[in-house]
Amino acid sequence: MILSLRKVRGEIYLIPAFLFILIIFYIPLSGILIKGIQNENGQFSLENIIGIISSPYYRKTIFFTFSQAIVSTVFSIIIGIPGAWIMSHYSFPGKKFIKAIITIPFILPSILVVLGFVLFFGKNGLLNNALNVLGFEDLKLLYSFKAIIIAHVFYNFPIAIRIISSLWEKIPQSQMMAAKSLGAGKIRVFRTITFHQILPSILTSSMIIFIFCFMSFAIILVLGGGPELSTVEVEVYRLAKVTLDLNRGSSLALIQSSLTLLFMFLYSSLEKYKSYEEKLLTKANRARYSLKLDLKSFLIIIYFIFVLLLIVAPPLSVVLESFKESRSLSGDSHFSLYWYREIFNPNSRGTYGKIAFNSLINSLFYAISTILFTIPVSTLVSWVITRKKLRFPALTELIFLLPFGISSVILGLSYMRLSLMLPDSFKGSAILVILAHSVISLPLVFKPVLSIFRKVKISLREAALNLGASGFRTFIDIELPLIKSGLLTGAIFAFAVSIGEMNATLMLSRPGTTTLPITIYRLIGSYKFFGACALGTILMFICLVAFMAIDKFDGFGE
Amino acid sequence: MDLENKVSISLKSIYKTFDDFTLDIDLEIEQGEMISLLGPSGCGKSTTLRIIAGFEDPDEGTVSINDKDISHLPPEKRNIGMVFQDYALFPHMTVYENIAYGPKLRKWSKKKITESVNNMLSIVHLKDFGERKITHLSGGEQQRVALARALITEPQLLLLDEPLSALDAKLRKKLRREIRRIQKELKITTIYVTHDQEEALAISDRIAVMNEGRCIEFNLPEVLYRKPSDLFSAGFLGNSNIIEIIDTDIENKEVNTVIGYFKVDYIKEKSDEKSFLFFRPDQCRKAEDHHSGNIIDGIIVDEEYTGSHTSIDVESNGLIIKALFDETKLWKIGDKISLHIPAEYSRVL
Repeated sequence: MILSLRKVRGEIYLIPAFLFILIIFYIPLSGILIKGIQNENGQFSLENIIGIISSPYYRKTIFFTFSQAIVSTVFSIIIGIPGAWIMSHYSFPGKKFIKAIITIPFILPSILVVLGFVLFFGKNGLLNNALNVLGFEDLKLLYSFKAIIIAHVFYNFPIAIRIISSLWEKIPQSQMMAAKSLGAGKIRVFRTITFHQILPSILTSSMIIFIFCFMSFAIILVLGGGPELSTVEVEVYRLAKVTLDLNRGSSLALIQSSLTLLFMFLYSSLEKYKSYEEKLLTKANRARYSLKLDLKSFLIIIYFIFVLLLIVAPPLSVVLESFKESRSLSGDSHFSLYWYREIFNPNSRGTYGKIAFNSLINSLFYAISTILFTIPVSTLVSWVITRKKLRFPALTELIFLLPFGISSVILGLSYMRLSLMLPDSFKGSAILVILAHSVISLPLVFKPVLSIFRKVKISLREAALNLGASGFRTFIDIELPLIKSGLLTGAIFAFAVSIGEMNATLMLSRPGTTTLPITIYRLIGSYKFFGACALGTILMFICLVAFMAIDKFDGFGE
Repeated sequence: MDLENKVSISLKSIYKTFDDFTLDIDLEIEQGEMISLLGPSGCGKSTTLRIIAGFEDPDEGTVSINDKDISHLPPEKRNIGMVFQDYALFPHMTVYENIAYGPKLRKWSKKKITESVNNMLSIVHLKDFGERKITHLSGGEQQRVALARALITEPQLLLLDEPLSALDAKLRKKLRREIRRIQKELKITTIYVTHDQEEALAISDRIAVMNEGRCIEFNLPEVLYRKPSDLFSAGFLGNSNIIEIIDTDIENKEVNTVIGYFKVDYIKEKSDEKSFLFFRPDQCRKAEDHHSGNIIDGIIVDEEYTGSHTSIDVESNGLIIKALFDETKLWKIGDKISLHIPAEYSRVL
C-alpha cells in the first residue's frame, strides 16, 4: 500500500486542482468562446465574427482600443524614464517616502482611481477650484480622450519607474567608464551603451502597461463617458448588460481573448530576453549622486512635485470629500462624519447606510472566501510541480496561470452565460461572485506560492523523510514553516484582488450581492459623491493595510 | 559470530534506466566498513546512494540490510542516516532542534533526547552550539550538525553524499579525518560518495570505482592504486602513463610498444578491445647500466619542481612519459634520460 502510494504519478494528486480550474474557468470560458463561432441556431459559423470585423463601428472600437493603449503606454514610459533615472542614480532625503508614494497606484482599485479623477479634475474639482482662484478658466478634462490617458498614465508610470530603475541601477559602471576611456561622449555613451542595457526593461514595462490599458475597463467606462470612446472591453460589457446581445458579445469576447493571449505570449517571450540580459549585470550599484543647488536638482524637484500631485491628489480628494455633507442640492458643503456614522452606526442607518454596510460585509466575506479557495489550490499545485515528477510541468503551470490572460469582463460574461443554465437561485449568487474572484486572483496567488516552493530545497524534504518523518509530517514540520511567507503574500493578493474587483462583479452581482466597488460605481452614477468617497476611503484603507502587509512579508514579491 | 566479515548491505542486480544512462550495479558491504563510491560526475554514484536511501526506486533488483530486503520500504521507514551534499539542515530550527528532530519523531523521552543531543554535540565538537541558528554557522559547522543529525538515531547505515564538496581544501582534509574517526568510534557501516580520488583513498576501507552506471572495480585503496585491473580506474586514480600495445606475448608476460619491449606483472584478458601498458610516474627509476629491457630512452621536454618532488615529461618516439622523482633538480630541459620501469609495477590493462 505504502509502495503504491509512493509510486503514484504527480498527475494523480492534481486531479482535484484540475477539476477546480476546469469547472470555474475552462468550461465557462469555452462556453462563450464556442458561442462566439456559432450562429443563432447553434451551428458553426463565423458570421458574428465577420459581422464585427466588417462593421465600421466595431472597427473603430478595436482601433480605439489599440490607439488609447499605445498612447497611454508611450506617455507612461516617457514620464517614467526620468523617474527611473533619478531613483537609480540619486540618493536624497525622503527617497524612501517617494518610493512608497509611487506604490500607491499599484494598490488602488480602478474604481477609486475613477472616483479620485472625477473629484480632482471634475467641474467642481480641486484642480478647477484652484485654477479659478488663480483667475484661470476651467479645464474640461473629464469624459474625454485626455481623461482616459491621464488616468492610465497615473496608473502605469510607476510600473515603468519600478521596472526600468531596477535594471538601470544594476548596469555596471565599468561599462560606462570603458566607453568613456575609449573616447565616447556623454550622449554617445547613452546611445551606444546605456540605452541598449535598459532597453529590455523599457520593452517589458511597455508590454505590461499596454496589456493593462488594453484590458482597462472602469476608467474607460466612466471617464470615457459614452459610446464615442469605447473599447472592446467596455463593448463586451455593453453587449452583455445593456443590449443583452450575448451572441455578439461572445464573438467580441473571442476576438478580445485571442488578442490578450497573444500579448501575454509576447510578454512571456520578452521575459526570457530580460533574464538573459540580467545575467550580464552586477548587483545594484550604490546611488552615485545627491541633490545640490543646481539646475539638474531643481528639475528633479519639479519632476517630483508633478509626480506627487498626479499621484497623491486624486486619492487625497477622495479622503477629503468623504468628510463632507451638503445641506442643499446647490452644493454648499461642510465638514461632517455623517457618512461614516451612517455606515457604522446601526441605529441611525438609512438606505445609504444599509447598502454601504452590506456591501462592506459582502466584500470582506468574498475576499476571505477567495483566499479559502485559491490558497489550497495554489499550494497543492505548487507542491506537486516542485516535488513530484510530472510529464508536463511547464504546461501544468500554464494551465493555472492562463486566467491572467483573460479579461475579467469576459470572465463575467462567461459566468453570466453559465448562470443561465443554472437554477434561478444561482443567478447573482455569492458563490458565483466568489468563484469569479477566485479565477481572477488565482494566477496572482499561485505565482508567489510557486516561487516560494521553488526556493525550498528538495533535500530538506528528503532529509526529514530520511530521519523518519511521514510525508504529511514533513509538510507540516518542514515545508509549511518555510513557505509561510509565500502563502501569506498569496492570501493578501487574493484578498486585495477580490475586494477591489469590479468588472466581473458588475456583470454578476444582484442587489443582495453588491460589493464596495459596485456600490461606489452606482453612487458615482447617481452623483452621490460624498457617500461614494466615504466608502472609497474605507476601501482604500483596507487595500493600504493589505499591501503594507505584503511589503512586510516579501517586499512586493517581484 | 564473526562480525567483521558479515555482509551488512547488499545491492543485488540493481538496474535503473534514465533518459541518457543506465545504472547497473551489484555491491556487498561488510558490517562496520566504510566504503567510497568514486567516479566522475554523472557516473551514477549519487543515484546509487538515493536508491539505498529510498528516494529513487530501481527498475529491478533489491537492496538488503542485514539480509532483510528493504526495497519496498519508503525512505522514512528505512532507518538509514544520510548527510546531504548541501547538508539540508532545517533553516527554521536551531542546531539542537535539528539534531533532536529524528529522536522526537521516534518519541524518545525528553530526558533521553537532551542527553543524546548533548552527547552528539560533543562527539562532533559543537558543545555550546545547541541554541545557535543554522544560518549563523560556518560551512564546516553546518557539516558537523548534519553528521550529528544523521547519527543520533543510531541508524544501521550511514550515507554521505559528497559531504565535503562545498568546503575549502584545508577544512576538507580536517573534516574527513573527523568523519573517519567518528565512523570508527561508532563502528557504523558507511557509504561515502565522492569524485575526489585523494579523499576516497584517504578515508575508505574499500573503494568502488564507478563509471557510466557501472561499478568498474571494488577493492582496497592500495590495490586500486598499485595494482588496478581496469584501465578506467587506473586512469581515474592518481597520475598514470598509459601506452598503446602493439604485440602481446601472454605466456612470457611480455609486450611490445613503440618505445620498446616490456616485461610486465599482469596481463588482463580481453576479447578484442585494445590493450594498454600502465605504470605510475612515481614508479619510474633512473636506468642503471645493468638494466636490460623495460627501459625508455628519451629527452626531457618539461620539468616542474614542487618542493618534495620533481616531475618530468620525457619524450620518447613521439610519446610523452611522465615520471616523478624524490630528488631535487637534477636535470634540465633538453637532457637525455633513460627510465627504468620495474616489471612488477607494469601492468597491461
